[in-house]
Amino acid sequence: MKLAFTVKQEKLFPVMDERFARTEKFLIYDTDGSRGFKEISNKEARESQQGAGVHAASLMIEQGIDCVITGTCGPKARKALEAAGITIHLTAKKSPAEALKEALSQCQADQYE
Amino acid sequence: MRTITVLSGKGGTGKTTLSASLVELSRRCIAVDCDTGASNLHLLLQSRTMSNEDLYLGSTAQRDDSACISCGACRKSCAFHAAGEPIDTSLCQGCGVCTLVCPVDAVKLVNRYDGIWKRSETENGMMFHADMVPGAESSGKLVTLLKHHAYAYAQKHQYSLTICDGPPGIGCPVIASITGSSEVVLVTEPTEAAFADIQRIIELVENFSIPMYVCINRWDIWKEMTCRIEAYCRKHSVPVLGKIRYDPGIREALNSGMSPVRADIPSRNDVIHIYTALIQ
Repeated sequence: MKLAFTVKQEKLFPVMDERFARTEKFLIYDTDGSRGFKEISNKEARESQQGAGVHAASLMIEQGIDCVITGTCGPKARKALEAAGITIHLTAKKSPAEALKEALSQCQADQYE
Repeated sequence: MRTITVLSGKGGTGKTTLSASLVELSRRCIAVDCDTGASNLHLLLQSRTMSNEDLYLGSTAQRDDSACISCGACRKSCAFHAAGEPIDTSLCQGCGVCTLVCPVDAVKLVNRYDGIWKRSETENGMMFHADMVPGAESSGKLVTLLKHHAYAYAQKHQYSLTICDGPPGIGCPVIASITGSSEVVLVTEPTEAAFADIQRIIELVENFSIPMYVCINRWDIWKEMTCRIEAYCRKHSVPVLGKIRYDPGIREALNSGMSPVRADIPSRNDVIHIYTALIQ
């Protein structure tokens, strides 16, 4: 499963960016395979005057993301992500690691239900 | 840090008036004028500009006349009728179709000057606002930029409250204003148009799971409609923070460049009541 976190750089470490559409960049984590982290820039959506949410959502679709972990997400971006079968996990956590833990435990809880 | 964003859906319901009042009642906060299309918070909060910076937000087409062969390809393909002789930058949307159809590469996109953003000092703290050139469009990008600078300043100077005067509507600049807010205050009035628009904005804010409150301005001009708005809010579990009576004194205060809380008028108490309900 490919997870995308909305993050911004704070000194040395990436911290969660609460915005989806105009996030600085995405931190992508693949739970299968290499388990490595990869960063991709969100420059195009961030710089767009209008429709940033839809831009960012199409980037997620291009990247084959399964789950987006972010703070807030606008209605059009949500629609686009949901239409592509991407789940959205909203979090208030500051560090991506904590947000990941939260998202994974939520996923497991959902499976047991 | 707490961020309170004032929105309404419909324009002219009293967002800026309420925002300016909240800023003055708070005594110390960061004020952000997110309504960059009709920026006027600075008219009510006496301010002194500390710094300003040019804004280049969009792009516009520019034609190199020495290379142009006057084939008319750009004029024919421009959906906005901007690629005339010369290019009308007020019509150009920066889509770039002219750069694609030009056979001799005489047209290119360049950054468009949209105005300036300012950091101004008020009696109650710093204010961040933009001064756009006529015709320049407000955008989510600009609102995000203003809020970014405001938050950085707030963090550095230990502010605990930010008040954003939001734009009307439910579009991109509104969504950019809501993002990162801890609470949203919706200002409405008992008119058909305002009631229709508050429903749309409540629906929008519900997407963000951010607490929201409603204030009914000029509530006594049509009491029946006020009841309908209150019933709608109850149904959607949106608390009504308070109601502001119709008071010609507000208009007089605004005309002399004051927020209503500075004037000795009956509606002043209504605004104070809303502030108290909001802050506690």
